[in-house]
Amino acid sequence: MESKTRPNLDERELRRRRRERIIILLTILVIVLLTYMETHLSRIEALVPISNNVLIFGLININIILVILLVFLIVRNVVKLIFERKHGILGSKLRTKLVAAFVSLSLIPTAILFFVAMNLLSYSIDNWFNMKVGGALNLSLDIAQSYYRQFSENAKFYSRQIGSVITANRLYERDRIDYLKTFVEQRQKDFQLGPIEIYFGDKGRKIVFRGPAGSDILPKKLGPEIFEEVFSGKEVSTTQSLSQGDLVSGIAPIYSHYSPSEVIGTVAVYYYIPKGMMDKMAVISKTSEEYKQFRLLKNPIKLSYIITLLIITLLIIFSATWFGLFLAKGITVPIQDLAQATRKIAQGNLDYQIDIVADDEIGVLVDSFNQMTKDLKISHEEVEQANLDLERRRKYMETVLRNVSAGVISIDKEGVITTINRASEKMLGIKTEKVLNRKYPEVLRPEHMVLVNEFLRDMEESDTGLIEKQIELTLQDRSLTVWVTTTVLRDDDGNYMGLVVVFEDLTELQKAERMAAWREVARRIAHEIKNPLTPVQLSAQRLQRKYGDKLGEDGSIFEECTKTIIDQVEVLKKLVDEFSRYARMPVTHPAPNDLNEVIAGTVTLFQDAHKGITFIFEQGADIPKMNIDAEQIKRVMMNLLDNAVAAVQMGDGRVEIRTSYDKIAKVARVEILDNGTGISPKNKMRMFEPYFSTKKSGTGLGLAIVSSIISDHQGNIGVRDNYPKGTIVSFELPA
Amino acid sequence: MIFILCFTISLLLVHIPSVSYGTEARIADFFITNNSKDILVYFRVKECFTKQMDEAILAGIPTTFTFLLELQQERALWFDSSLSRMEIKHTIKYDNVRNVFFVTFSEQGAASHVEFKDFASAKRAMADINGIAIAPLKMLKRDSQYFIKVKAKLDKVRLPLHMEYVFFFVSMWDFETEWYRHGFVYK
Repeated sequence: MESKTRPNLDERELRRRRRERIIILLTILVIVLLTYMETHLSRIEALVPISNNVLIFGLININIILVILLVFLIVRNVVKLIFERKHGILGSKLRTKLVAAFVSLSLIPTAILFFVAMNLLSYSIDNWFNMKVGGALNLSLDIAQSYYRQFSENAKFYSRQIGSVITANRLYERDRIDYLKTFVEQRQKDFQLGPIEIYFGDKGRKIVFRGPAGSDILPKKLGPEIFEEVFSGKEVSTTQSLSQGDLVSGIAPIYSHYSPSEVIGTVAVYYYIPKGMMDKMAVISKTSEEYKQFRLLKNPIKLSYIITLLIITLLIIFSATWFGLFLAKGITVPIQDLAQATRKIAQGNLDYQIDIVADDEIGVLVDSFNQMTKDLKISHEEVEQANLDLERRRKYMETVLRNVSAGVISIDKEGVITTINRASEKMLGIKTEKVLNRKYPEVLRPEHMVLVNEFLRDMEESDTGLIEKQIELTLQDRSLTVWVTTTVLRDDDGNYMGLVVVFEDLTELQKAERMAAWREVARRIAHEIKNPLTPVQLSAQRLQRKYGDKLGEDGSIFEECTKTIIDQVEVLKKLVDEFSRYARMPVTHPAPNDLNEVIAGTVTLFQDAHKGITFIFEQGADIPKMNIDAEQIKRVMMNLLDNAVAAVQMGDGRVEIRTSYDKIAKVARVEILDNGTGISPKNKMRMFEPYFSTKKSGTGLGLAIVSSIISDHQGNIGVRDNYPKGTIVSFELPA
Repeated sequence: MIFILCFTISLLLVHIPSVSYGTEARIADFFITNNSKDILVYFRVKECFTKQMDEAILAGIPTTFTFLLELQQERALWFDSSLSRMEIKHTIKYDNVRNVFFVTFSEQGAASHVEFKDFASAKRAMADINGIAIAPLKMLKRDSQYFIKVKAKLDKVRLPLHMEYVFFFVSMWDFETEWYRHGFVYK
């Protein structure tokens, strides 16, 4: 078995490897394609390090490939399953059911879970971005913005006020510098202002007043564009970010006392916003920014979660399908193997064993199956051996039955003929194939049915179930005397099974016995009668001679009487001679003779003697010279032709003589056919017996002698009807 | 199951084409001149800001334009020779507390940023390249054929919690212009 399956396995293995190579190639192509797509679409190489990119791409690609591979494997298996189901492959229905059950069991809860989770997620995400949170954050931001704005406006207000005081009191003049310092410091102190810078001229004098809160905090130098703006008459506000906190400035122009439209300097008033406050505002700012950014990404985030959920759902469904397929395979493959094994065993291969190793119930089933196969094989071998013995015995019985001289016929309880042996065929002149397995009433002739019914009646009356009887059977062309033994067949429980009928042909035996008896009778008659006949005849002749002339007129009567005595004695003598000849058992002197020649001589004699009868002699060819007594065969022919002539009518009488030679049986056959009156079946049986004649003048010894001569030549003689009328007497002589 | 599979694929397919390249951003007002030392390039990117980009910037997402400039000499029957190549980045960042926009110009140094009080001015500053010295004049040969090609593109935006990695396929603010090529002969 292994040698048969190995090439298939190799081929399968090669195919599998080829398929794997294709899958690997396709996977590589997919990786290249996806990498190109991602690179092209994302173009994030400028933003993040290449190592991060590789990691991200790798992870994404692996995920995608795994999903694709999973989808491929599942789809492939499902398609295969559909194909197998369509083609009615064993196990596919069970596999479909299992897969469908697993998919249904996983699909329904997973789908419900998916939709519930999706809605929950969607609701939650919407809640994150609801109006209340957004509004609160915006208000916080507004407060922070107002805080800055307030400081900015205050700084501008005080710088404007200080500027106007400087202008009104001409504090920009050099000799009033002390008043200016006193004034600014007083204002700085009164209004809790930070550093104050006063510039005169475009790039001229600069007076800086450090603030009381943080004397060490100094603002950065203002840019030229700010001076340019302020000198054009505008008020400007700036913010400077320092390590200690922010400085919010308000910068206002200082106009000339004498020329109010001329800007001669600037006043910059700073407010210091401490770091603690700055950090708080930074948190507000960052939170607000993030909120807005997340709000922008609301839909993609939602989508990404949905996709993640969907992928998990799909993974669960695919896994369930895969598990279903795997489980189904685990069940159906052994079933397929079992089915195949059953087929193999049904085909007669009892050496087939299933090679599945499993620890579960399937393994137990396979072990049981293998054990059953082994037991079956042993039983089969035993049955085969028993059948062989039975067959041998049957053949032996058949041979015995075939070769037994007695005819045997068996009939079952339904009356069907079940056995006919060769002796029966020969004895009864039947062909087995025409009567075997048919009911006996269908094949028996009415006159034979009478005999059978008689037997059955006797059988019913018998207690032993055995009937033995001698019967005379009249067949189509002959009669038989048979000894019939009928036995009822019963099985071990005594149930009726049918009948067996054994025939023994007593015809020849009976004939021989009769002949022997007749010969004895003839011998005794010849001996007892012949001796007194001669004195009777002589006495009659003497009486005729002595008293024939003396009696006168009565002499004629006397002569007539003595003549009658003498004639009848002569007839008796002839009769006695015949008996004597029959009883003498003449010894044959066989010599090589031409049978046709011997017969032709006799036929010629009869043709000459009976002109009114047509004699036709058909001589058989190739008849070899035969060891026969020509005289005796002539006598046979004369007797047979004499009977034939006696049977036919003058005018349309016709006698045919045919000779032939059977090369196989090595016998010469002679047939004498006439169109005469024919012989009744009853007479046919007895016609070769002594002293049986249908002719008035016959002695009844002719055919008995004929039968005797033929028997002496180791031949046999028979009689049958000629069609449309007449008789055929035939005898066979061994060559 | 097939339905779900189709649904997923369609989702992905629908999603990938959602990548937007913004409006038809293009290079305009291109102008080449020179001072005593260098070749100077001026140009502007038009139609580069979309509504979504505006929203993103106002939401505090720092946004960077990258300008690629390349000076090449044309050569007959041979590949053109690259004489100079530059990459300039303009980054805009909105300060929502102070309601000002800071624009950083890489050509002026990494720490250099300009504060804009209004969004329109900041956007103009982002889109303009003014007098960038692409190469020194001494690199050029007289009566030779040269060309300058420029391109502008939006860098991948940085999303909070590094979500640009998650939404690598989502780029609602993306744009990239075609290469703009302008030839000249140095006399």
